[in-house]
Amino acid sequence: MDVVVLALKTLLRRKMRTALTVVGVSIGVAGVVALVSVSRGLRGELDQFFAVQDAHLVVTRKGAADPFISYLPDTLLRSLARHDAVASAHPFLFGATQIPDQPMLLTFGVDAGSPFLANLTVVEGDELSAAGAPENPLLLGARGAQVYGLAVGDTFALAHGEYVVVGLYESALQFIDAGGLLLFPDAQREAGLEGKMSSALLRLKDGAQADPQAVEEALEAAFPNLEATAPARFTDAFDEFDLMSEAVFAISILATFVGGIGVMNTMLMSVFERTREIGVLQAVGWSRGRILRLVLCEAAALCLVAAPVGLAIGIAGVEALSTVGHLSWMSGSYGPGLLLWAMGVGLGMGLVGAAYPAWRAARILPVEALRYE
Amino acid sequence: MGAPIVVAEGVTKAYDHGRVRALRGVDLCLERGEHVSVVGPSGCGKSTLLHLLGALDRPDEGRVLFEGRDIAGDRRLYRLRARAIGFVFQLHNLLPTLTAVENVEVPLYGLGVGRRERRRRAQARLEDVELLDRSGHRPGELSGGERQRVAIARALVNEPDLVLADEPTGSLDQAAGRAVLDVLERLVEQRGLTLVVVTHDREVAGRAGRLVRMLDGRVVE
Repeated sequence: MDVVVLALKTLLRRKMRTALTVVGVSIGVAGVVALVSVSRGLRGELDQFFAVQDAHLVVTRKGAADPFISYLPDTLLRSLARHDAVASAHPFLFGATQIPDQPMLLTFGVDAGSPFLANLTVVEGDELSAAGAPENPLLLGARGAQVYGLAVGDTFALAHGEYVVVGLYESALQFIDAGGLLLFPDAQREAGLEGKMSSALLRLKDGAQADPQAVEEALEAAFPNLEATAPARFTDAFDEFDLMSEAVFAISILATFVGGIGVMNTMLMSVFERTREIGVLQAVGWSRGRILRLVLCEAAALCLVAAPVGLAIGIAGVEALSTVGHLSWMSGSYGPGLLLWAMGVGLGMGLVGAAYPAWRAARILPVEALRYE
Repeated sequence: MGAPIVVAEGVTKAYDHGRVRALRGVDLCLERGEHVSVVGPSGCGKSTLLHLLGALDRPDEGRVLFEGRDIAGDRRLYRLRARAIGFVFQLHNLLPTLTAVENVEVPLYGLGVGRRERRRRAQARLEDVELLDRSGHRPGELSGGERQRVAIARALVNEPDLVLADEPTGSLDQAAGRAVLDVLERLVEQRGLTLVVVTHDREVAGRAGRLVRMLDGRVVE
């Protein structure tokens, strides 16, 4: 307890060095928080992309690793719609359109009754295909409208035509909010994929009562080149999601390592600077264990302050970046896991970073520590 | 004078992988209550000898016996330092973040003395060096002479048997140095402690009861 009080006194009376160390450690933690939250957020958005829709099944090319670029002929829609279990079949085409001097626009090509529209809320203007809508309508995400500075009624030139913003929508996913919805044929023209779709979204006749597994099997028997997947199973069904999981894990580890090195370096500098003081403590009869405890108490106190500060900086940084045009699709995932991760990185790497030089300083002879300049 | 408190027998010490031979077979016996000055030119091994006598380091060859026990076999020399030895360094070496009284308390942590008793003893030692009114000041707020007096209070707070001072007046002007030595000698004499002062200063050396002269790592007189 005495050592804890002594450690806190030392920190409080060296305000500038304490503040600089806290800043150094929190920047390391902030880096970890930002990278991990963005990669987890992206993963979460992709997981949810089909789950938030009202489709019972999503049909893609058999063996496709990525549901966004599986590319099926759109003529399949009629055949799928004729299947006994299917109430309606709707096209979906994912695209990304380059816009001169502006961030690219993510486009989602859909038809009028698409399940994709079910969980979008039109907050201003009209639906995509309201009666009397202009030719080439564009329903723009609220975040996308902010990025491009567009309002309802404005025209927006894409690569192959001019579109009228008929309304603005919001969705649960930032990825969708940052993009825009085109009518399916317009989306095909913009993507240069006439006659193609990314996937078909199916509603089943028995709705929620239907057994998607049985229908999946029946459809795959009828269409051997296709694969039907319930939206909730997307994460397991596509290799791309596995790849994403691995990438998120790798980024988390890398971020932790890089941030941790920053934290460690800061603590190393802080302790090396005090080698002479440690020599004095040894000379007046402090044991190595007591010196280690003192340094570790100081490090723990610093990191307990720096970790939440770093967490706040990391979250603020991600939120600030997600307002920048090119990064408007970005969203962070800030669950309790991230909080624990940040605290773990801050505290763990801080203690490891402090323990090594403290151990080293406590190991060297007092005469050498006293000579240290 | 009394029984030997610390004895060096044929002590050698080298640094820099043997290239710098600081001590080349030193024999020295210090008795309880003795006041000894160690003098000699720079680099003659005075401070190295002081460090060995104070159990801050171990000899390469020979023995240092503290109260008859060879320090080479003691794996916990810090306990010996905490219990029986006080140091006064040339550059006071006070901890800059702590106040005068907190600095004086520092050696008592190693002895497991409780908080109140620590403070009581530290204040008593500051009173001895006439600095009780400066007990809440940090080293940066004290003069050179005051800092060295705080260092003396720190050296005495654990009630040591042996006080080792390495150029205690080296960074002070003559008047301040003399005042510091007056305080140190008075307190050591009152307690009947053994005092070893390493110095370049003839006046400081002349105040000791015995003079040990060193040259090239050896005691020559």
